[in-house]
Amino acid sequence: MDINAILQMLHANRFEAASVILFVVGLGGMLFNRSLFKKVVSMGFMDSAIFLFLTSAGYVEGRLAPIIADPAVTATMEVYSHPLPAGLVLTGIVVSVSFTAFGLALTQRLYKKYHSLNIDEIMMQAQKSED
Amino acid sequence: MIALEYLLLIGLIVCAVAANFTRNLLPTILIYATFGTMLSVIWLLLKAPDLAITEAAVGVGIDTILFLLAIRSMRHFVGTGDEK
Amino acid sequence: MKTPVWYQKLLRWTEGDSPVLPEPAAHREQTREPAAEESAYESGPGLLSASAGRVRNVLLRVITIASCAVFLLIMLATVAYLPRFGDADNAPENETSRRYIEQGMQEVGATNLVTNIILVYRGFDTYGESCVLFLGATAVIMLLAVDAKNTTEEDRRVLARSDALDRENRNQILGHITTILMPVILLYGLYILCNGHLSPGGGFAGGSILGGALILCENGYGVGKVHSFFGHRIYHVVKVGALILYAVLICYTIYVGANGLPNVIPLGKPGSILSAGIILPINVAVGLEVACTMYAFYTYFGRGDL
Repeated sequence: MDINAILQMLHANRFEAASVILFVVGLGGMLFNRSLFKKVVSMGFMDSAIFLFLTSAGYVEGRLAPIIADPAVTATMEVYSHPLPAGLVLTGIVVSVSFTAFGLALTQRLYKKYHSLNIDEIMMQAQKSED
Repeated sequence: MIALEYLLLIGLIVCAVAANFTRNLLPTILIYATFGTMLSVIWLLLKAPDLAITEAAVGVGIDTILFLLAIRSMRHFVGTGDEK
Repeated sequence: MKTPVWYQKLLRWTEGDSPVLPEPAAHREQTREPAAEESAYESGPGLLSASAGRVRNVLLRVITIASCAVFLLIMLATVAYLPRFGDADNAPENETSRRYIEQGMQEVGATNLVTNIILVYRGFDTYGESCVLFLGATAVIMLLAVDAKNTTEEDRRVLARSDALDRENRNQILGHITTILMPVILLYGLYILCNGHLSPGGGFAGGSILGGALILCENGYGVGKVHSFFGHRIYHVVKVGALILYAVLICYTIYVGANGLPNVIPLGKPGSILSAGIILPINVAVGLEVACTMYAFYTYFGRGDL
């Protein structure tokens, strides 16, 4: 398969492709950043990547947002885009905020104890005090 | 419309990459807020206005406040230096 | 009657006086030799010498990058074979979506179909999410509250100093702008909260905006102003009350729906503000819960107290 066909397929699924790249960037950030704070931020990026992937599955070209404009007219499937992925993602966004707050609280406690955000240094000091 | 979509998607990826390469933590937070704003425009393009409003209020507003408060309280102590 | 040992241990653990297994750790604490430990630590972990450790580090880094790249390629290849973005016959195009779109308004009553799904069709799911928020706030309070066990004397001093600094530099401009902005923000938040079944928004977005309004109030007017109408007691009553109201409404919906009973709450005329049965009260409950949670996040991160 030549590169042009692949690019065309990626263009057709541009939101999914972008979300996959975002996910890997967030994963790399979580693996390579030594700062706990940046690990929490990278986790936020990974969350958003998953949300983007899910929501793009619900989009249908040329259809309206899933809010019924005129209650008198019977709604049909062909007018509105899928509401189900949006509903699932709405739950996810709020849970991700919860996670962010919890992660930051843990980070702050670790900082209070070890006076550092660097995970290596924290591990070193923790090992030292444990031995 | 497709140009706008590409602009926003590439902007998202650039933000996510750039957040890892800042020396201080404050720019990271600002980049995160930019990311959230662009994401909320993308939700509008994807015909999910509920998500757009929630993302703008929660993902941009509350998250940014939490991050700012977290670095504020970490700055009080010795040896902070905003380590990478 | 003698209380069992495990119960005493549990009691001690919940009191936070000692870890679960205090005896061996305390024993080791006394017998260890700091100097020997120090030198053992400097020679690096394990048997590796310093250069070998560096080589291992570089190797690990390369392996991690490579596995990330491979993961990215695999995922991109998968994405290329997914159904076309925006096509009508995508995965969510099934009878579930059809039911939600075509009969959602008649069955539940809200014109915003997403609200129908998250609050009624999948209400149990969203209730779990509210509990996650509640637990998140509880965990943050446990971790960051300023009390005798969490805080040292130095922390207290630092906190008092920053409080005094904040009070000295109370910003006049911020206060005036808060006076101008506050009604608008409150109105917007309440609109989004109460129109969750008619327009985009709902409990989560409206609740966060209300929480943001509380945060702005505290910043502009000072803590005392917020405490005058939103103290500890009101916070706990509102938060727990909203969650309980939500639980009762969800239980009612599930009981009625599972047993095929008639719903006594009228659905009303779709499109008007007093319609959609239980959705409006649930939205208000969720909004209050979220507003309380966001404000609690703010205060515990900032001051360590409500």
